[in-house]
Amino acid sequence: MSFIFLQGVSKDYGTAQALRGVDCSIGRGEWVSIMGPSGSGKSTLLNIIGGLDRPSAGTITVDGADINAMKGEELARFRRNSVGFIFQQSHLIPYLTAAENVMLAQYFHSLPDRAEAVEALAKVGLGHRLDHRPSQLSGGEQQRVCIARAMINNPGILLADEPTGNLDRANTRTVLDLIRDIHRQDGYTIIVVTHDPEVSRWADRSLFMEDGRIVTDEPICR
Amino acid sequence: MNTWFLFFLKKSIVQRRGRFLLSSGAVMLTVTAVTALFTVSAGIRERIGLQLQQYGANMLITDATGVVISDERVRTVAALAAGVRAVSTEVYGTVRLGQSVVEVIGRDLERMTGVRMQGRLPRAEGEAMAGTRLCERLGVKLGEQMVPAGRREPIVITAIYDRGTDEDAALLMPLASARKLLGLAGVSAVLLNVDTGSMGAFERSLAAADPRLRTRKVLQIAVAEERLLARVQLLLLLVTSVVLVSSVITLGSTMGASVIERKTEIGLMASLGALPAQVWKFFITEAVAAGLAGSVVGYAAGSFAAEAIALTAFGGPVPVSVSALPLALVLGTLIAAVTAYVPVRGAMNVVPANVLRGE
Repeated sequence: MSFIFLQGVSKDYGTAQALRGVDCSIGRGEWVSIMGPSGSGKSTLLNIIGGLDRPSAGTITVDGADINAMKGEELARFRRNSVGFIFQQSHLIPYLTAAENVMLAQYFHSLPDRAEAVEALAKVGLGHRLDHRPSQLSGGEQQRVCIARAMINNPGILLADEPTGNLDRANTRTVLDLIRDIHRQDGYTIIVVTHDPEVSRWADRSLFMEDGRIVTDEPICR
Repeated sequence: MNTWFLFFLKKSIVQRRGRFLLSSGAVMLTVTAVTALFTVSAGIRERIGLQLQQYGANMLITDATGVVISDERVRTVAALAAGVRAVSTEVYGTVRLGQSVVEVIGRDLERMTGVRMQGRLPRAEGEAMAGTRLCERLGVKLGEQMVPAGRREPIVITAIYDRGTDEDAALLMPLASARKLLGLAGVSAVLLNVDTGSMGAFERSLAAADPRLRTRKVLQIAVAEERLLARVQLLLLLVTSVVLVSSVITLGSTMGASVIERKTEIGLMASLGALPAQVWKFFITEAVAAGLAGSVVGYAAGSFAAEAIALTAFGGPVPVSVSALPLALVLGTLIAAVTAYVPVRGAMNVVPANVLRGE
């Protein structure tokens, strides 16, 4: 049985249809990239898998659980325990330090643990920037804090929406190296939305979307 | 309360201290107005109560034609013993001191209550107490001597008093001294404390014994003041209602703007797996904190405002109302929580993906 399974997933926004009957299955520990032009439905698909949005039709199961049937607290627990998000804009809380931003994720999960947060930040190479606020960090550093925050509760699934979209080449490489390490060492299931073919090539498999449908689904040969 | 919750809450409040102060300020305005109304209302009732007590009398007798009541007629009144518990007499008149006409009240000063005084009670002939407003008007000082127009003997001010009533503009003297000064062969009024159950019978007896005497229940005076108090309270209530409505609107706008600013933060909390109750707790607690801060300051400001209103409008202070404090705290926190509830509920209903996308 697939770890993540989508069947007939559609999403309508009034007259616009962002997803049209998407079928897809993703195995545990796979790294999948989703590519496509703007408006193809990549981010919508990612948000629906992560429980940040709800489909208009279809079913989604993650590790056997029907996401669409979850509501309120159950859905919040799913996000807390099973999914880590990495956003293009990182969305760090501006008045919290790097360590505190990571600890905020711990707070909603169970209990903040500064030692664990420090370890997570050290793992992403920011052990020396613990008490800096986001405004004092570069774009790449902010994204690394985002990665640490996404992993701190060991969710098992990492969903990244254009994680390198705002970064230069060097930082893009750094961030992708980190994601690869997470994938190899911790066995995370990773789904990355990107418009960059170079980023897509880091994955095991690439889905290409167009007009709300998956057009191609191919393994990446390295 | 959870230490970490307080930690993140404090960080949020410090970061947005401007908005926090604005919200607290709006609550403070409302609580100030309500506290002032409550304190003035409670205090004025006490003042009326004090005045009634101070009279000790519940019936006032004067001559219908305005002439003084002779000692013989006073004895006639006192002899109508049925239900009469206490009798006292007073004289009223005016004298000219320099360019000013000054009211003189003569009564048994030893039995007088409810007066603040500096100096000693006048006892000898020619001694008097001056009210604070009279002293301000004429620049009178303790121990000063003043010669009324048409007299040779001076009046010596042995005390300056404050009753918080219109009497503060008068001279108070022992009854005998006042009668001599004003040249009165009798008294201006007879004050009685009559058993309220016997009032009707007493009035009928008096009318039969001396038809020229007119009775007036002191309650009537109180009723007139009560009517005035009711009107003043209505005015204060209307003003407070306007302040309340405008404060709630201001607070609602402030809270709404604050939540809109933070909708990305709400979406992020959702993406981190925050339970809806956890998000509510953050925002409502912030609102309640603003409400509490505004309530405490508003209570203090309202108490000061009540003193100013009472001194200006009613000529005397009112006691600080301790019972207004819990009312202030409950009102302030309730207003803050309710005005935060609507925008937070709206923000919580938005799909997290939309706000994180920047919509």
